[in-house]
Amino acid sequence: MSTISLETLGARVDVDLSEAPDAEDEFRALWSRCLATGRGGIDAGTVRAHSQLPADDPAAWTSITQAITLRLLEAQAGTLLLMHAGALAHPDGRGALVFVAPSGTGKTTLARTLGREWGYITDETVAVTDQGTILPYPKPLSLVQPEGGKRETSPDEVGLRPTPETSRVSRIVLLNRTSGEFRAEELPTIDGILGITPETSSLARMQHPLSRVAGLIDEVGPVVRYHYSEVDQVIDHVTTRLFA
Amino acid sequence: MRRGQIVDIWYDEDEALVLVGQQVYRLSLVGRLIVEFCDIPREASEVTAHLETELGTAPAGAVESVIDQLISTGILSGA
Repeated sequence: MSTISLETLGARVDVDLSEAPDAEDEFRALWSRCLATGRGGIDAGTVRAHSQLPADDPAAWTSITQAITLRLLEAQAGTLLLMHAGALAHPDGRGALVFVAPSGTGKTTLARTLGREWGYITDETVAVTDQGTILPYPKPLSLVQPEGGKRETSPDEVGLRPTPETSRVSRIVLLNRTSGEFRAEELPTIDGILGITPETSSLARMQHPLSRVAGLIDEVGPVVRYHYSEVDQVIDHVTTRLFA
Repeated sequence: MRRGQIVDIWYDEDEALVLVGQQVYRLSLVGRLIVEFCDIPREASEVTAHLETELGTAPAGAVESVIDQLISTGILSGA
């Protein structure tokens, strides 16, 4: 049986590739930053690749990524604050930018672009402990292809900076892609909570979840909502204002 | 009526956020006062009297409207 173990998001998940043994090398390359090194973590069980994973079937690889993500989320439900968000670590150790947004609104693009200079933590799921530490999840990125569709791509393949072992949340932003002019809006705490909570998982399984989100905002500063059309607008504001 | 299956409440000056299931609702001062008051089962007349004490007389039907909304979202239980 061909099983590859991943240690990420504070958990360990085993991926059974026994039905797709030829895919093992590519899987290891895609998940290179999550391969088990003996750090341990809570047991998230086993994900089985039931079908072959041919190179010309990107959807099969995406579905494996999704299955792994769901298994990890379930393992950490109720323990960590889980946000549908990307995160990048400032290169000078000044903490991490967390960018919250629904699917298809720019998280991966921002991760891919700014991640060439900032440490790549994740483009999909941010898990924050009680102490404000982010547990990294440097999964493959789902990149839109010129011919259509998406392909799972290793962060190393697109030149993303190394993933730090730990990071602390330094600022949280909400991404709102729009056709209008760029605007950065600093939100009162109540609106920050309302902006973040729709993009969380298993909130109801946490202890005092609303207070936890509010506490995080109080610690790191007001949530900023970006209304933007080009990712460079966000990057410019982040690097010259938020992390100046 | 009484509080429904509220997972968490967070207060912010005159407003509040309430988590019911995975949904977060924002309460105005009126909604907040009703939810706080319904920590034990209350009759609608008691709720109205309580709001009048706190805020003065409400327009006709206003309190009932807020209560209906709170029940429809599960923040209050009408049982």
